[in-house]
Amino acid sequence: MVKWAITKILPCILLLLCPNITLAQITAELNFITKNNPILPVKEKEQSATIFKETSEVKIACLCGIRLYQLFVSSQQELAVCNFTPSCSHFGMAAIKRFGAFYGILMTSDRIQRCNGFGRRYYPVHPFTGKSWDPIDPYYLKIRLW
Amino acid sequence: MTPLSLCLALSLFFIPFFANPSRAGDTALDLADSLLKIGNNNEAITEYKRFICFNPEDHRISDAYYKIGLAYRRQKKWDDALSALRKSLAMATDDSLRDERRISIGIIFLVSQRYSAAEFDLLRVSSFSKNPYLQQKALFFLGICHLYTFHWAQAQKAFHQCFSPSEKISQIDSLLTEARHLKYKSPFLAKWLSTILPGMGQIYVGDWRNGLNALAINGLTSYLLLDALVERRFQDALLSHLSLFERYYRGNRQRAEKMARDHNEHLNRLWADRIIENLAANNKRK
Amino acid sequence: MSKKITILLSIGLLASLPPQAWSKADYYTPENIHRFADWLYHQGDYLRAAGEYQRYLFSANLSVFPDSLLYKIGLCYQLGDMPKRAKIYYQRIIDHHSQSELSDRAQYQIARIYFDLGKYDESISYIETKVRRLAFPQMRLRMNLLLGCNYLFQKRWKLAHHHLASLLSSHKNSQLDSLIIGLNDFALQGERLPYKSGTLAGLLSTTIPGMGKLYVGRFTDGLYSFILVGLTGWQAYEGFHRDGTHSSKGWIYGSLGAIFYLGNIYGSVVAAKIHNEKVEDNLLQKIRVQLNWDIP
Repeated sequence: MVKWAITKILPCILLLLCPNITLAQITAELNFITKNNPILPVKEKEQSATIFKETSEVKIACLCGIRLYQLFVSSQQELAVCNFTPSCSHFGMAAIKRFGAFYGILMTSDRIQRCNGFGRRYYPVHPFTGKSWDPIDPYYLKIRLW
Repeated sequence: MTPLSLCLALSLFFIPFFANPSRAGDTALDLADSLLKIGNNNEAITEYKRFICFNPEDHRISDAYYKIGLAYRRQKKWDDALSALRKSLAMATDDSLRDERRISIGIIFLVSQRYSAAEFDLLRVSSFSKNPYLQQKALFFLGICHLYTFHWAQAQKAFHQCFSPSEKISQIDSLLTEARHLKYKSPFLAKWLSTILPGMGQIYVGDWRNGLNALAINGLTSYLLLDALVERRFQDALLSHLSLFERYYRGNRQRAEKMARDHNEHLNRLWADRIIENLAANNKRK
Repeated sequence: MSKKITILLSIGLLASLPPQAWSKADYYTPENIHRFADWLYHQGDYLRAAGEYQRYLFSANLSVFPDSLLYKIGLCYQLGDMPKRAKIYYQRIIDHHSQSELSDRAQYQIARIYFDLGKYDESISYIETKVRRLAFPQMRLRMNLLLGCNYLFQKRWKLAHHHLASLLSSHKNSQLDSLIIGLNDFALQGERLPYKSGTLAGLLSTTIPGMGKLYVGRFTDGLYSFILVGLTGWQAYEGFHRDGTHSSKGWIYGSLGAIFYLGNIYGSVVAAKIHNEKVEDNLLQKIRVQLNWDIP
């Protein structure tokens, strides 16, 4: 009887008392780390997809022109040419999408004329890029000709 | 001795182990634990705080703060989690608990991309902890930290110290050895290839589209410049063509160098991801 | 033998049971819930504190919810950035405890919520309907002061100055004297802000490209516009002069020049508008810094 107790009951009790840490815990922690901080960055959605959702042909033509410039011309020039965040081409695209071709072209033309390295003191600094922060919103002005 | 009396005697011996005062039930703590178990993190935090409010001197405070930290971690509130874990660390009563808290803090630093802070905490535990299991755990996550920062040799050293030699670990070891001899692209060479022929650096890195694009743009701008010079239109050459040519030629060189660096970083990330996947798979099999 | 075992068993059980097991705190009594809510409030965990105060309201089985508690819940939501919920609790105080001082405070806080959210029109209309019915003079003064602040933030400088000046003359030697004087000074500053005319900027840029931006104060932008429009215009002229109307260079530079010229005029008008907004925002920022109000 004593032998039976020692061989059957005692190991179970000892097992209960031992620390029950497993590799499963470490794997769970590792999965948590890789899920919340993936090593391979998530790819951003391409801008081109949104152009063809526009209904106006003039807008589509202007946006396609800017997009082609971004893909084939702007992608070849010097790094960090534009003094602003967002860059002039992105500013133009956003302005045309939001306010139409007419206002968009005027706002873009004005933006290109302001894009010089000497006017930095007029703008706040963007915290991530360190460039001058210049969004489209303040530059819209409804023109009333009558 | 009869079997019944033997069982009773054994239970007399073991009762004190289970009837530990520190395990005495507390309604708020029990409720908090069950809420945390089912994933109701916000309510769990409330109940843990309730316990802390009424038992500020209790020895289980450190554990309560630790679980608050875990609940915030699940909610991805890293700063709140860190704050709770630090309080737990300050109130921990023994070295093992403190080391465990440090490892948890290190993991949160890893998740929030503060690798040097993570390295500091994990290195401390791996070097000074008296608990071999916690040392092993810290070394494992230290190795992961080195993988994230692409320090292959240091990661290999950490995993060597962490795991005992086995077939599965030798696979990871060989991956790390390969990672130390990856075929990187030289940014210096890419830059100078593009200096000689625009676009050649980009092609060397493997980006044919940008290489041909650079060749076309630089070809066009140089043609316009030369055409203006040959036809003695110096005004045009100076005002527009020279500035355009210079901008795209310099851009071609800078981008070739940047592409080589990006290529190398991408390669590092692919390998780190592969090694971590192997580690996770290896742990599951064990 | 069995007797001995029973005795041993009972001794063992008694020795192992912890004394603390029998003395558990009851966390869920109304008093303890209230105590916990106060603790959370002092820790700065306002939303949790609001939840616990509400739990107390239901667990205490009160026939009428006390105004002090409703006010505290409202305050928790206000500090926890949930103004809509805060408004609900303040409104309850006004509906059920109209005679208490906290009812006046609750009305002030609702007006304050509108003000903090930038809904100045709503805040003004709320104050105008409620201010005369307030029982306590101190709260009436605060409401009127908040009305003045609303006028300031709406950039109605003259109205703000008139209102604050009348407030100062009618409530002399009050605690808020220095604040009223400070705000009145800001209103006077607002009346004298150096605005720029958009029309004039546009006209100047029409005659000489970049002149409008110079007038607004953007010297480098004006100079850059002048050079850009000038250069493109000159190159267009060169192209047309050399090759006539078939000149591709003339048409390219001409179109670019025209776009830059129109953009320059538009940009000058917008620059004047942005300058005026910036000047006003600078003043409002100073007012925000001066307005050192803690929610009571």
